Amino acid sequence: MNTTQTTLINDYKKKALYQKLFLILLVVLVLISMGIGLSIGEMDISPTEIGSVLFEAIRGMDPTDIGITNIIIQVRLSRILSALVVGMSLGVGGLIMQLILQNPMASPFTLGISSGAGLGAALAILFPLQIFAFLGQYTIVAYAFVFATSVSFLILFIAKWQGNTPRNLILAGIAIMNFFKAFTTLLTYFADVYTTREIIFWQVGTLGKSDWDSLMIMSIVFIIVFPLLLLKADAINKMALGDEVAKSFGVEVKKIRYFLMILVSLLIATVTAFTGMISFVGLVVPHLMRMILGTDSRYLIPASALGGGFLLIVADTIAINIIAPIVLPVGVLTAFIGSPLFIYMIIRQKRG
Amino acid sequence: MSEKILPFVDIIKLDALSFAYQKKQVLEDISMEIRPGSFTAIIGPNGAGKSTLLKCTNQLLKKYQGQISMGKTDFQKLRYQQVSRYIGYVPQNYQTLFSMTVFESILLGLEKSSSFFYSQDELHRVSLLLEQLGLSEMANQDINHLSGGQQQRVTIARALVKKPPFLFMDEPTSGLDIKTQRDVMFLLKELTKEQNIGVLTIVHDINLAAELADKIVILKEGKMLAKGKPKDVIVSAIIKNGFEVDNKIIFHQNNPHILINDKSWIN
Repeated sequence: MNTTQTTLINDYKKKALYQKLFLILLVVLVLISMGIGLSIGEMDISPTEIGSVLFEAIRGMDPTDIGITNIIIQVRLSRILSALVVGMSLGVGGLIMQLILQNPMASPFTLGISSGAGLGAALAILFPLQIFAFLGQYTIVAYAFVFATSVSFLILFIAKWQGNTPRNLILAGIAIMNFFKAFTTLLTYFADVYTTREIIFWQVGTLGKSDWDSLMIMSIVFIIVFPLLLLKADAINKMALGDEVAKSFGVEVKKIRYFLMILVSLLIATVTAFTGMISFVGLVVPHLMRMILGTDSRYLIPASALGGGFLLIVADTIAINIIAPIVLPVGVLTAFIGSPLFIYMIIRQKRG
Repeated sequence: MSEKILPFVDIIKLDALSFAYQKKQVLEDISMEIRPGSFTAIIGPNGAGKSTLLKCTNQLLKKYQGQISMGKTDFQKLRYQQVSRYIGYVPQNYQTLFSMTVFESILLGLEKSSSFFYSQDELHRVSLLLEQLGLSEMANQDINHLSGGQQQRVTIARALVKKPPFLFMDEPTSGLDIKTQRDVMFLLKELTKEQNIGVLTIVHDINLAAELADKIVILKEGKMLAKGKPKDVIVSAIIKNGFEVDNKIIFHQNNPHILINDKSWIN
């Protein structure tokens, strides 16, 4: 091996090291944001107190201060972990959609997949069918999944027959969203006050309903889906070169595209069923990560997950504290941050 | 260096290959052989089915009639992954939406089934190819910012990095100036001869094909018009029949060379 080759290999390794270090940095950021989220709120709790409460909980000891333990474990910890899992799911879900559709404007929200899941969940609450009763608390997820998957495949169909341009998919997404919105408005029109509130909740997106049960379901789905996505990272990278080239490199493009779309629908459906439509995380985070890390999915997949988790923890902590004691739905915050960014991206897209 | 072990490498045989697209016959009864280490050029007018022939042979198009095989292996029954171990493919034009560096892009040509990260050996292979193809300087540049000739060399490197015994190319030098075209093609010929790689390539420029190829195949309207050594198929009557131009063949540096005699556009 000569010097030029050694230099080239070292350059590549340097970049790979930088990518790995950035992932570690993201993990640290997530941990710090979790620490901050745990300590501030209506009642500020010091890091030492948090440490001892968590230590007691892990060791299964009796809590010294039951009040603080309750706030930390039951209220804050479950909410922050939910923010983490939801953010990770949305971040990675958006990334995978952009990659399989080869469309930078794709995300669960812009394509109408979140709204599909949201409507499915709302229908599950309003009209629970007897035949699905055996699913118990998973009924909502099942409904949301069916709707989200249907929208996903509708999008794949549109992409295939009408051309996969950013404009086409965004227009299709708007149409789908509006259709579901009309449907939801209809439900609201005939529903009582309580149900109306429930339905509005789907449309905004909030972590206010998260508890340990929902967290458990969301985590299980994420833990199953995430490694499967990571395993397909190389195939996804090859698909970025176009279907034909990917096939010539041995990728079963069609099968993998459907497989990934189903996995992502499941991921998005699950978190949307419990939190409603939290917008823009899935669109903005993958772009930010790509700007920093480059396009290698082996790093982008974990980075988009961690970035999404971090963003949502920060956004929710702000949502809780900004006009306390009133707690804003986190979806309002992500929309405020995300909408201008989205417009900026559309403008940039047009410039090419 | 660890090599991917193939069952065996033999001649690729096309036997009575036909392909129809939406009832339109694109290829009709094509039989030919592609030998390891040989350089075969496909020429023919637009719409002759040249790309389709390539894509059927490497199974990007699967619904063909006839048989494509190597020894007892029927290619139609193979999965993409298995075909990809035999045949590297350079498409006519390609685009990537998201940017990536030249080095990363060539890494994608490798088969990653067992490990998540690239081995030293794999990185070495990429750096060697970059040097052989004169791409070392731009290894860390974004592929979308390269010139046409450079991009084409990247695509070729990506197809070769897996060390396939065959390389198929769909007009790899389309859109390049004549010097760059020659540079890319001759470099490629040298590389593939050295490693005994069988090349099947569509070539736009008939004179270049005559200069480069061991064997030339001429297609017209999906049928094979002629195949053989350049001096046997680049003859006036065949070219007149295939491309519908009056022409005269001269010999330049021992290679057949076409001069066009078309008067239909001059008054």
